[in-house]
Amino acid sequence: MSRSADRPRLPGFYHRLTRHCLTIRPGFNPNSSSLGFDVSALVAGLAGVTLATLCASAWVRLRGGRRVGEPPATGEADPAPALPAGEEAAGPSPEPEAIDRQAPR
Amino acid sequence: MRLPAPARVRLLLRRLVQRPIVRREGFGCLVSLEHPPLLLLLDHRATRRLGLADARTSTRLATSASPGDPLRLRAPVEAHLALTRRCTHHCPTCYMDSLPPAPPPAGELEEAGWRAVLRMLAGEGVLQVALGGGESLLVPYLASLAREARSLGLVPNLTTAGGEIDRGWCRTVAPLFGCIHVSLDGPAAVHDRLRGAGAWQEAQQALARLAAVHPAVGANLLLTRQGLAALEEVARLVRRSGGVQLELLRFKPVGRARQSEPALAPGPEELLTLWPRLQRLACRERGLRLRVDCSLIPFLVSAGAADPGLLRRLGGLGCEAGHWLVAVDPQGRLSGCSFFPPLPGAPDARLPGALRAGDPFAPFTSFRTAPPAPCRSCDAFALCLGGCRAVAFARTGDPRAPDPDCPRVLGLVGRPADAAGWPR
Repeated sequence: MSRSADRPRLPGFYHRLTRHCLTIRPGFNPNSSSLGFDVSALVAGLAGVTLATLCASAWVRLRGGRRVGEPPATGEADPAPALPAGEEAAGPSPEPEAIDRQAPR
Repeated sequence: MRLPAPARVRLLLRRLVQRPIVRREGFGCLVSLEHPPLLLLLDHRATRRLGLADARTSTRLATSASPGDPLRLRAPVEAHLALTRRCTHHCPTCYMDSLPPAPPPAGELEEAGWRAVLRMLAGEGVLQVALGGGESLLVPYLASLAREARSLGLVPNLTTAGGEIDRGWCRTVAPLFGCIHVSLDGPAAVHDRLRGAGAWQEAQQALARLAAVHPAVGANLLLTRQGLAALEEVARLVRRSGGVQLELLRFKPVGRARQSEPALAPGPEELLTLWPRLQRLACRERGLRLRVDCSLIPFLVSAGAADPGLLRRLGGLGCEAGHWLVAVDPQGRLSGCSFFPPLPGAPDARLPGALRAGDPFAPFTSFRTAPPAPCRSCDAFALCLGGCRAVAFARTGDPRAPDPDCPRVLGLVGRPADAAGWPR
């Protein structure tokens, strides 16, 4: 299965918003050097982007994100890695939830 | 400040009946709204889907062929007109080397000349004009020029020190402008020290009178060392006077400001502290829209304001002189920016097609297409475009030098790969 098919697609409006509107620029400029940017809009925009990221990540997780440690849906669980000679396993393998918490962000 | 009921009804009606201006561009189109003031740059697909594909196409600029920049415009969006060098104040920070109110200096354009300039700009597809000076209120035909601009489809905006504004002017002339800003140099004591006793009271009175009749009134704060230190206090005072916008302007060593720079201008380290303070201020003063000028972009990007690509998408613009913006000096000569002197042989802005005569914006376009080190390896270049050309020219005599105060050039933050070779 291809990589793009594996990944859930984001909602269409998000693509349209980010791909087809190249720049949004609020306000008028009263003098020559006042191009710059609107800090208030940027702070609001950053808050919006943060919120959108949280919503998108929640949506991806709900839609079909596979937790780390869970066996693949179609195959069997990966065999445990072979330990070097002379070493023993420290104990039972941790629960999937524990692995999920330890997964790097 | 809350507008009176008739002004609110007028504003609502304008919002309902306004027609957006659409300008076709190489990347798609540019849509301009006045209520609320908004510019949208849309790609071809959005242009087709919204039915904007048959909008009028503005004249192509001679300098428009730039395959490297996908957002290359066919014509500038804004023009700054310095109507006169005359002024009621004699600030040590003035970039225009202002002159006393009388006698009128020789060689400045009269009303007919400025009308011709407005016609030329409208013909090229420019959307907004910023009227300033000197003191623009000393120009007796200011209202007539604003009406002419409106009749040509341009949105006029105004900067003033505020001295001549009375209630009659607020009622009859102020509604012609898209936005009006009053110039400030700091809180009362600093402002009066630089501009003369009583100047602060005049400015504050003008701000309050304008805010009572106009929805887009604000102040320009020039960032002197004292002005920067008192940023939060000035923001509070502007909001209490009814202003809804505060524009922060970087100190540029041009005109009389060249002599006063060592005593008054903040250093790059001080400007690097601006971004965290602005974030706090934007959260605290929610009724006040904070804006920074194009020459401050290197400091905000270096302070980690945001990813340069995101800033660009949210309307951030670095040195767009000669591209997004052009300027006309009191003699009617074209330049890329009002802080940059017109080049020898600069075209006369009264003549039709002046924007396409020769290459009046050569220092800007050549810097943009072939930036020198260290800008060419800097990840923020696509946004900041090398910092302020006017500051670079004033300090080094070379308009193609990188901004000498840029924190990345100075090595105050992470340097671009080839910054070590940059001679200082």
